[in-house]
Amino acid sequence: MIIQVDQNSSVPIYVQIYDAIVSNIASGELGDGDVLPSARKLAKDLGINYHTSNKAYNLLEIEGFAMVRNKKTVVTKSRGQSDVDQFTDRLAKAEEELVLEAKAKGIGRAEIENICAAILNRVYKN
Amino acid sequence: MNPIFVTSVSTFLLVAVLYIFMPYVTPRTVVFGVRIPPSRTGDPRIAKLRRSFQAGVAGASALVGVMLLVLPLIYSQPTISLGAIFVELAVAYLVYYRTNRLLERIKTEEKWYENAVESSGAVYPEEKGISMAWAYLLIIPSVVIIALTAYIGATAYPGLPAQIPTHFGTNGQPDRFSPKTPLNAFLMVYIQAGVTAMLILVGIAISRTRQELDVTRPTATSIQQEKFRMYTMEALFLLTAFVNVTMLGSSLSIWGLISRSDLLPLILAPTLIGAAIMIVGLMRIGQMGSRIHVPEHDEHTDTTVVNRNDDKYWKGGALYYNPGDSSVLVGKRFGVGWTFNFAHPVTWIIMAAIVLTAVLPLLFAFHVL
Repeated sequence: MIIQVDQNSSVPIYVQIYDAIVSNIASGELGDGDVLPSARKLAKDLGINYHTSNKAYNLLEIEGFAMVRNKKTVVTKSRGQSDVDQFTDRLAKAEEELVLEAKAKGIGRAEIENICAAILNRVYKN
Repeated sequence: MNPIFVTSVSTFLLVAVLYIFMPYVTPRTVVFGVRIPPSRTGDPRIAKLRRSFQAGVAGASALVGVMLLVLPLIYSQPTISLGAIFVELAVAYLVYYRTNRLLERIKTEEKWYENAVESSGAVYPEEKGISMAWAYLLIIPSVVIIALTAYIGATAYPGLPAQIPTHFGTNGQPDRFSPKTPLNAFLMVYIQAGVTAMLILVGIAISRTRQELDVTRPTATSIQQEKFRMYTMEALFLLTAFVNVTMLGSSLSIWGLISRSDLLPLILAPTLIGAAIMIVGLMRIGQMGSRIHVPEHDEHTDTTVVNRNDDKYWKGGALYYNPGDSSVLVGKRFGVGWTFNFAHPVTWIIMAAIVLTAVLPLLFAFHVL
């Protein structure tokens, strides 16, 4: 797994770390129970502040992608049906907001469908 | 030959050679302490700067070399030649700093980092495990030598005279004697144990240094750096063994088992040989293992993604000061090995400890404490 952060991006670094780890879970690079590098080690390797990487790890825990077990942060993929249901609700809401914005900007249905199809093909390629 | 003179001349030559070869040892994207994008590594002005840097160092060293030969003729004080080394180090640094500024100016004026995505990256899991464990096996020779020294000392102790030599002049003859006590007689054994323990701690610190990857070749550089850490630890532990052999030799002369004046070069030889092997080895594998051949398996598609332009954290092109970096040890900018992040509080604690260990014995010696 490669974690890379853009130091000058407007996206906060802790969000970039969060996204990188989530994307590795999505791709299958990280599996259930895999140990993540400690937040301290990650901060050193990326040349950033410890609080930044720690914030990313806290967010991973809150979102149910990781948990602390024996002082190590491990990946947790499945957290039961209620967690999945809750997330599908959030996904639908977020998507609706974006689609409404797109429509307000005059983007047509076909174009949005194309964009979604491209993303889905990339993420679910296996 | 005066040992101080011999030491000065060899140190002098070593400094000159190290400086002249250093431009080939640093990673290709850190040139004279200046971070450059991979697309610029072939810039002809870099080769030109390198030649003028090498000529500058060679010229300055030649001048200091003449000083080194002439000064002892004017002043009878042999330590004057050590002063020449400091002059050489200062001049070599100034030549480096000038080159650093010249390249920095080209980079800034031509906006080499415009539109670049300045990143840092890390690869997990790290390739650790068995190889690091092997490096620690190289502590065994040191332990054996210390045990051997202690054993020889314990056997010789009953037969030692009431006064034993504890200091030797530059001619190799003892010039200070102390009463025979376990503390005085086994002083070298305690120093052996102390030095070995300290170098083991340094080795552990090295094994834990951070990744400093080239984001355009993350996998390749992470393998290089893992090897570099391991080789550095091995070299350090081997050097420890050589230093322990030298201290075994000193102990033998304190106990009167060998005569120091005949054997002085022989006693120092193991440490010098160990240091020479370490220096040549580290120069060959390059800073952070940048010269170790590894398979390139990174697909680098986005050429705008480059390492962060971090020159502003390198004060004077040599001292790292970055309060936003949680790392204490970072790779040297122009050299082989690691240096401190001077913005980190732990660095200052370590510095204070070093100063204290150097100053406390002096205070004792002058009866201040």
